[in-house]
Amino acid sequence: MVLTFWEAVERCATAPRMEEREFNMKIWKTVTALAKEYGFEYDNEVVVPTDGQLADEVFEAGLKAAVELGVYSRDTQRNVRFTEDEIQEFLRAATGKQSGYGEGVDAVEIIHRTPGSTAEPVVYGAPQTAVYSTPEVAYKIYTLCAQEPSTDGIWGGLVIGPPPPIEGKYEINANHPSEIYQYRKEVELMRKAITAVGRPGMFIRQNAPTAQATIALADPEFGVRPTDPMGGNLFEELKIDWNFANRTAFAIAYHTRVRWSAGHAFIGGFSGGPATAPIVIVAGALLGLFFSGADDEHIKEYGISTRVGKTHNRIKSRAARSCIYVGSLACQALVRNTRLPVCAQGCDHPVAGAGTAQFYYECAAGEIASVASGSSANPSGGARQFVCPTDHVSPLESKWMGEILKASAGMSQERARGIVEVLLSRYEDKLEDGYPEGYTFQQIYDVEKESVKPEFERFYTHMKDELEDLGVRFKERYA
Amino acid sequence: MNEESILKKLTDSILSFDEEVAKAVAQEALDAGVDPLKALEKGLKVGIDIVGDKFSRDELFLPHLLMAADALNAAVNVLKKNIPREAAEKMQVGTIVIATVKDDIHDVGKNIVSALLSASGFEVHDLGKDVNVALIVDKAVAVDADIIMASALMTTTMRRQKGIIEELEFKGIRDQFLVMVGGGPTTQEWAVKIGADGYGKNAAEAITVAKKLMEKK
Repeated sequence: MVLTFWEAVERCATAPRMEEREFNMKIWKTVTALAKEYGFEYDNEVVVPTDGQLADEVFEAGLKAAVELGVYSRDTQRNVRFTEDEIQEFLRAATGKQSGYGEGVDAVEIIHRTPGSTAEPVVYGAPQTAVYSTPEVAYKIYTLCAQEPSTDGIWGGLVIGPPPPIEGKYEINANHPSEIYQYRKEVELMRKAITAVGRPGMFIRQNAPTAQATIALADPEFGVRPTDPMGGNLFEELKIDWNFANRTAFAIAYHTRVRWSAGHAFIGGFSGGPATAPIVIVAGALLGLFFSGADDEHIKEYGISTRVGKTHNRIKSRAARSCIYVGSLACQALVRNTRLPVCAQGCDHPVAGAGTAQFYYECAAGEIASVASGSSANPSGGARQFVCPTDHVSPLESKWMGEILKASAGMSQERARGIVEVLLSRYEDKLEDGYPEGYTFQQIYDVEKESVKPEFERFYTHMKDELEDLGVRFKERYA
Repeated sequence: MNEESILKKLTDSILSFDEEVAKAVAQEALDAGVDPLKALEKGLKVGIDIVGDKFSRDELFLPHLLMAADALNAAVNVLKKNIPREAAEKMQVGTIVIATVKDDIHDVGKNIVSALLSASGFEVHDLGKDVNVALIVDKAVAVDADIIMASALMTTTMRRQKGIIEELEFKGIRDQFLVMVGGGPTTQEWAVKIGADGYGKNAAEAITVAKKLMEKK
């Protein structure tokens, strides 16, 4: 029997006290010692690792780290530990797939992929973390993203104006009535958009800053349904707090289908560098299972997955060389040694803006590496630098990432490595300075006609040709 | 041991990331008659600069910054005890209260800024993440801070930075503190709009701006 969410939460209240700084330093010391024990070294010539033994050793080290480190409970300031047996129990229960994303003919399931697998990954379309000027703009972007054949579900942003969205004069603040109201309105827009394009059962994903606003999204008619991913898990480097655990508690009560764990590392943070960060991601993916809200019955019926992420402490792109390496290795470690489908962040956040060659290069590099490493589902869209200016996103970029993700299925790690190296050579020197700011939705699209302007359409085709020349085989059905 | 060797040893003590080593070498420098200010500038700070440089090239990481800052502070405390108060004050660049604002739990960027500030000789009071305005202002008053730094990583929390300035104005103490802001959604324009004194696009820039503000103070 797998350990339940409630037992994990109880341990947060009873585990030994520890200062957060002590725990953070413990992360670094533990993974540094493990890297030394296994002889892990970062070779920056190898952007997509192909050494299966290395991936297996990273998994082994991640499992040891999970047992040695446990999780830090921020609200109770305690170090919560779990045994290897408890972790293995979850891994034995994993079924190799996860169903329950969306409803009816629009429903999809994700399956456990391995490097080079020909199964296509599920695509979360639309730019997450985007901010929109008006509900009309947001709605158009959601509809245009949702109608893309490569898109399996859409991820929400937030209308913030100007003018301020509530009655044209009130702004949105976290932990405030405006947050609950506006995020809820956003989900209504998303649901309206997927219905308008004839895909009413498509899954939608939205995250508010606070648990209360996220929970308030629940509404089978206008809001988030039990068939939409909704919940929380570990935050950043092996931390849990009630803001996230509260979401999981509600997800259990709301009978949501999609439950997951999450492992995340900050490259250059307490996770250390590229040689140690994959260990932290694996440890988080394993420890996060306890906070997923999934029990045996749930796993048997719907499965369980894990989400892995990496952020560089300075470079605001997930397609930096070290980011790609860390994400690829952690993903391989998990898919080779568990039956958990892995949802990875390829490059959902580039540094360059929409409508530019660098945006396309960065996103393609991150997504290709991720899919070739065994990722089963990826967010597409891509607000530059995590939080970009209002309307600085467009559905064309979501389409790009969707097409790339689907085209990368079946690609070997070796081939992916070759393509990613070429792409990196085209943007790597512009990740910290000299990157293009890009264009707004209104600059890329004829908003009235809801169509891409000819110059950007031509540019898109040109970028596809470039990638095809590098060996990416786009699929006609997603064009 | 000549002065040059001792200064080199001070530099190396920072690179040992060990407080005890740094303290011992600082005492050794004093015993050998090395001017404390020179020990700081030509010894310890050279080590800190190396750490900062390696951090910016991804050769060292946040834990190294924290440990180097701890080593620096331990050594400076030894040096300070042995010199007149006026000279000791020269060793300190300024006092900073730093926090991620209420309802925002993203703190890695803030942690890096905090560590770099410590490593640059600032006395840093890091209040963590999800910190309310009153607590930030109260702490600034309590420690007689020079600068209040507030980080926000979400569009829905960045207005809390403005709240700090409003709180200072409400209490009639705005002119006692410099206020700097930073974080993902913030910009120089935002800083100007809310009446902040400085903005850091990234951690390195935040330190540069803080130093400049202190020079003008």
